[in-house]
Order: sequence, then structure tokens, then C-alpha cells
Amino acid sequence: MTAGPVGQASRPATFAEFEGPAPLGRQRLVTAAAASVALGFVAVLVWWPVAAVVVRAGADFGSVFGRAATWSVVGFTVAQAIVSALAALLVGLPIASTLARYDFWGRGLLRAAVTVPFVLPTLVVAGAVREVLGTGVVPIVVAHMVLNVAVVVRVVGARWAVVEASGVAEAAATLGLGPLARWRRVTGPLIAPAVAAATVVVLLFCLTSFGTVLVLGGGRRATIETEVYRYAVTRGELDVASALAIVQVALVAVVALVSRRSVATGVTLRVRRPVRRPVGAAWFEVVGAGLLAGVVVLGPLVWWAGSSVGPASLGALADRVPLVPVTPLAAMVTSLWIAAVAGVVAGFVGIAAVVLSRSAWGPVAVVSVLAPLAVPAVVLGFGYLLAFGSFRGSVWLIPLAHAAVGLPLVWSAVAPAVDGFDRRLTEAAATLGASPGRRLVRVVAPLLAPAVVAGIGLAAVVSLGEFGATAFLVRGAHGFTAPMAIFRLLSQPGDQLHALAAALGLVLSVVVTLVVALVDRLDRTTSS
Amino acid sequence: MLCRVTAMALAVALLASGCTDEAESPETLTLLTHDSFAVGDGAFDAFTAETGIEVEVVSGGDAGELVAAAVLVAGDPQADVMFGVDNTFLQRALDGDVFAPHSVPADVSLAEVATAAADTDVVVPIDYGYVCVNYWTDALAGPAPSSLDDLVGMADQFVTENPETSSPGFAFLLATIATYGDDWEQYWGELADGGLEVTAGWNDAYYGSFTAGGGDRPLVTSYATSPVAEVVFADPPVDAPPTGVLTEGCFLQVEYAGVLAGTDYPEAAGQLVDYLLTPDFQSEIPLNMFVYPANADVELPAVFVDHAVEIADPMVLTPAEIEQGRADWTQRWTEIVLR
Repeated sequence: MTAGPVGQASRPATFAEFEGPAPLGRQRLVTAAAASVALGFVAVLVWWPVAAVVVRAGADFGSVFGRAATWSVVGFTVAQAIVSALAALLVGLPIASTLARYDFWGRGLLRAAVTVPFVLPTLVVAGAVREVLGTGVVPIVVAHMVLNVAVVVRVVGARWAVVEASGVAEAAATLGLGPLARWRRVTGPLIAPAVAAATVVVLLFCLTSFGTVLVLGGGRRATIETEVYRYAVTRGELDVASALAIVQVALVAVVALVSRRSVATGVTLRVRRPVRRPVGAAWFEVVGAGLLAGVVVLGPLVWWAGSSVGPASLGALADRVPLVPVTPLAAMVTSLWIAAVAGVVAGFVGIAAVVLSRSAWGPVAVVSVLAPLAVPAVVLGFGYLLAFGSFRGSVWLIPLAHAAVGLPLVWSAVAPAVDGFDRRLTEAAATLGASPGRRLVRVVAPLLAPAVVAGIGLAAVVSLGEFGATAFLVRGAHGFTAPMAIFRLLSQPGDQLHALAAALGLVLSVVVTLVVALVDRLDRTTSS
Repeated sequence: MLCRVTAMALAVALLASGCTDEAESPETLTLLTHDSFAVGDGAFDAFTAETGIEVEVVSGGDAGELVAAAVLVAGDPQADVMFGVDNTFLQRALDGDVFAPHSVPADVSLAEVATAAADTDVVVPIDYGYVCVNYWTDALAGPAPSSLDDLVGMADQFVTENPETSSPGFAFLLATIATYGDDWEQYWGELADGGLEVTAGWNDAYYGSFTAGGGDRPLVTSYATSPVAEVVFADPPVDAPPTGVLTEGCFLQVEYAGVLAGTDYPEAAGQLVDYLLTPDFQSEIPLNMFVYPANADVELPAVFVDHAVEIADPMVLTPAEIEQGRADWTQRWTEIVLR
């Protein structure tokens, strides 16, 4: 979650401004092209499917709301999200506190340890938790905690480090306030906005958690999204599924709108590295945080990989498995090409949107590109089913859906780079006689390339782990991705199949981690 | 100008000839079926040898997903022939105009049971079986059940499948509805209160929670022919199956095949459906899918005859009754048993 580009768009930058002087006609042409790419993509691949859901739901709203079962599902969806967010706080706050206040050997490792699960495909985490804890409400909450503890650590930790570096707590101590009073009157209120922001973000992630609940609910626990899937795919009652999808969109929208301010004010982007070294009792905090991260957060993942993955299970990835339409390896290959296509499409559309946002169309572009954020992937996948039912044999719907889901991330990577672009460089090039085309190729492209590649990488990471939309679009072997294979393997009995799921999960996780590491490097290149 | 007209006429002629050429004899026919489809490697060789047409088998998920997907693309199918829609889903497929009518060839005599579940001349029955509760004799606490009533007291030893996601699970629900009428809800309430376990599919019930897969439940919803598989796959070999079948409350399940409406090759597709009824293909069915072949003239393997349990009086509901009740029954079942 990055808040920022939206606010920064107020700076009156035009495409021409960072591109250097250009004839007005050509500038219009560029804007028109960008508009058709960005708005066309979002209109066809986000709004149209959503409209299809709304139209379909029309008739059945009354009966769906009349059912007690509907309300118990809504109730469970909200309740599990709240409990999960609290669990993430419970585990995340001590780690955030330690990372914010002390500098020690292994600090980077601790930070990475809690961040890794956040980027892992949700099904990998769900599979690991199921192997250790089985199914039920507690495993669902634990999986959500593991996935989202990074949000708490990052968001609260950043604010906490700022508060710590400001020295207000020490000043309060000098003035004679005890530790409890300092916490209650100084540090607590100062980090509270960040805690609120982190809670809201985790809440939103847990409200839209699909694969985790499907794997860990054991068929008994259902959220609105798993019910959309059940009604649409299992029961074939598209009207009911549509009505539930609308309920889900409304719920997410309400939470997002109500909490918009708290997210905007609570997220600190600049992180300060603490200078204090842990002394005496402080070491207990460091060791405690390490244990929390190592055992509670990473424990299930390490256990699953360690107990199941070996030469045998890795070797068996190339073999056919009953009830899975392709070999796990083939599913991995499918995931890779789909991620590549989704990344490139999202990158292309993302650039067009950024270009468009620097024109008079700015607000429209921003709303369009960030729209997929408000539409849960499950609803999007279901909308594709309704809107493009006749293309369902087409495997291309899957990368396109992934591109739509990943679009906001491309934006978040590219927009700041464009905002920070030094237009004097193109002006200088123009003064030196470079043509507009040459300026674009020799000056603009190389400077923005790292951000664009980072955006594409992030979209690819989303695609690699995407399950909610994919689950609606896969038919038979066509477009059968690695997360689908993990899901199918986990739903069959037998340790061997579960070991295979773990092995595939590990391969997928390694790929994802490599891409994230690459993005991280590019990110540092851009900011330095 | 003249030249252009000639060229266009030529192109049209070429296209037209290309089309008719294709429509008469495809190189490959696609057979869409469910995940549980299993036959020997050369099961279609005789068909290919006779017609020159290869058969590509494509899996479209479980039986329910298969039908749901077929209804969505009815008239513009992804395949030419579909096999695996059973009597519990047949009405949905018929209502959705998934199939172009095709009837059983005159020279094929069907087993009487194969025609008992549905009266249709749109699709043809290919195989049939009975969904029954199985028990692992040695692992039962107490005597084997002899009626559906007996299961209530043994619910904590019983694992069944979710009728929404599993066809044997749904067939068993139908058996209880056919047996108890309106009291079926109460029956399931008692099973749920007694500690019934529910899985999503047959595989995780039989090979996960049932004794056969190392699980701790000696009662499972499976088939009257499952004991045959227990003998065939036994390692080391056994003379008698370790499992038994509760012969009361069994539900007749018939699987059908048909020509998908809108196929480019209706004639060849019809030939393929007919082939599925020939002894060449039918003899593959018993020991690959562990159900009975629909063709009455096909001889059953000895192991099948010895260990399959005959069901004299299975429960039957018409496809129309099933389709009419399905949504409410499964919804109520979910509320009673799972939530």
C-alpha cells in the first residue's frame, strides 16, 4: 500500500514539461493515445465486468438480503478480519518497537523475516499454516497474521522510528515522567495514527482474503468472497453470487472511505535507522522480537518447507498427479508466462495512465487506474465470467485480469519517478539540438526505466501469487497456474501430494522473492 | 476489376471447399470429460483405426463444473463430445441445450438399470453404479450398519462428501431424501450432532479420512463397487475385500455421453458417442472407473463379478425432480450440517 502519488499529482506537471518543448499537435496526439490505452483498458477490463455483476445482481438482491445465512457470512467476514488485524498488531507491535528503537546485529534480517511472508503467494502461507495447525478459525487468523504482520511492522515501525529520533520520549524522561506515563502521554499518542493506519490496511486485506479462507476454512467457514465463488462456480447461481459480490464491494468501499484519512495521515514513508544499541534488559526485547518473527511468523513456513521439501518432492514436480490437469512444473511455467504478459500489459497501461495524469485528464486517470484497488480480485474474476463468458476458453483473460489487479502497483512505482523527473535535463538536451524522439530515447527512457521495470516486476509478483480472479477463469489445463496447482494438491489427501504442494510453493516463493529483490534494487537506484 | 472479381470468387470457392472438407472428416475430435475419467491407454485405438480420427480427451473439472461450463458456452462448445454428465446433473444440461440429440444405436442392447434413471433420447447412458455407504469391517466399533437409521448412532465414525462439491455426496443426500421424504433435514441434523465429518470430494473422504487412507473413520460414502477396487489394488493381494457395503439407501447413478450442440463435426461426434457403447470401449470401464458398463452384452471381469455388491432396489429420483430440488436441498444441507 503506497499512499503518495495521489496527493503529489497536484503539482501541475504536463507531459510536455518533462518531455521538453514539443509541438502542440503532437502533444495532443500523445495524450489521446495515452487516454485510449489507459481508459480503454480500465473500461473494458475493470468497469465492464463490474457493471456485468451489478446488472446481474439486480433481480436477486431482495432474496439474498432476506436470508439469515447471508448475514452470518457477512458477520464472520467482518469478525475474522477484525480478529486477524488484532493478531497482526499483537505480534507486529513488539517487533516494530524493537526495530524502531534499537540498532543491532541482525536487524536487517529481522526486518526481512517479517516482510517475506507479505510478498509470498497467500496459498503458500495458507498451505504452511494448514500443515501445522489444520483447519478452522484459529488457522485462518494465524495465516492472516503471518501475511500481514509486515504491514504493522513497516507502517508503525516507520512512525515509531521518527518519534524515537525526535527525542521527545527522552525529554519527557528528563522532565520526570515514568516509563508508563511516557508511553501513555507521549509515545502512544504519537504512534497511534500509524497503528490505526496499519490496522485499517490489514483489515482491508483480511476482508478480501479468499484463498486463505478456502484452504483453511475446511468447508465450514465462509467469507463473502468464498460464498461468491461457491454460488458462482459450485452452485451455478450467478444471481446470488452477483448480489454477494456487490455486498463485498460495498463493504470494502465503506471501510476504505471511512478510513481514508487515517491511512493518509498514518503512513510515514521515510524510514530512519535508529542509533541506540540495545543494553541490558533491552536485549530481552530484541531476543523476544526475534523469537516472535522466527517462530510465530516464519515458523509454519520453515516447518512446511523443511518437513516436506526434498529431492523426492522437487523431482516429482515434473510428474503427472491425479486430479491435477497438468504437472506442477507445467503449472509453474504457465505462471511465469502469465506473469510476464500481465507485467508487461500492466506496465504499458500504467505508463499510459501516468502520461495521461499529467494532462487535463489527470483526475480521471487517477481514479481509473486506482479503481481495481476497490474491486476485490474475486469480484473481478467473477465479473469476467459474466462479461466474457463466451471467451472463457480463452487463456488470455487470465493475464489481462492479473494486469488489472497489478495496475495500481505499476502506478505506485512509476508516478513518483515521473514526479521527481528533472525537466531541466530534457530542456538541456533540446537546447543542444536533440530532437523530441531522441530526447525520449536518450534522456527520458533511461531515467524512467528503473521505475517502469520495478512497476512491471511488482505487477508480475502479484500475478505469480494471484488466485482469487484466476480461480474463476481457469478451465481444465488452460491457464492452470502454480497457485491453482497448489490449491488442487492441498485439497487432495495424502502426504505426498502435500509435499508436492510444498515443493511447488517453495519454487514459486523463490521466484517471487527474486523478483521482489530486483524491484528493491531498482527502487534504491531510482531514489538515490 | 474483372481480375479482382475472379480472385474473390476463387477465394470464396477455396474457403467454401475448405469448410466442407473439414466438416466431413476432422483429424481430431475433442472429448470433454470430468477429472475422474479413466480408461486404458489404447481405449480409442479401435475408433482411430476405423475412422482415421484421433481422440483428444480434455478434462473440465468435476462433473458439476463440467456441466456448469458447458451450459455457459452452449451452442459454441469447446469440444465435440461430452462424457460424464450423470442423472443428477442431466436436467441442467438438457435445460441448457448443451447437447444435440443422439440416440442409442439399434444394435446395442442396454442393461435395464442403465435406462432406469432417466427417460431421454438426447444423450446415451455409458455406465452406471450405485452410491452406497461402505465400511471397513475390522475398524468398526460395533456391528456393521444395516440401515440408514443405524448410521445416526455411528455418525462419529462416518465421513461423507459435501453434496455441493461432490457427486457421490449429492447422490447420498438424494438417497436420504428419497428414503425419509420431508424428514431428511432431521436425519442430517442428527448425523451432524453425532459428529459427522464432511469433506469436499470423494478422494479426500475415501483416501483421507476413511480407514483405507489411514484415516480414523471406518464409514464412508462411496460406491457399491468400491470393494472391487480394494481387491484389485490390494498389496499384498487379498482374496476378499476388507470393506463391506450397506445395501440399503443406495442411489443409482448413471453417466451419459452426448454430442455437444454446435460442434463443427456432428456426424463424426455421433460416431464417437456410438463408439463409447461398443464392447471395445465398454470393456475398459469396469476395472478403470469401477462402475458397470451400460452395454448388456459386455462381459464383466471375474474380480468384478465376485466382489461388486448387487443392489436390488436402488433409490431413484427423476432428473427433473433432482434439478427442481437441488438448490434448496443443498442450501438447507449446508445450513444444517456445515454452519
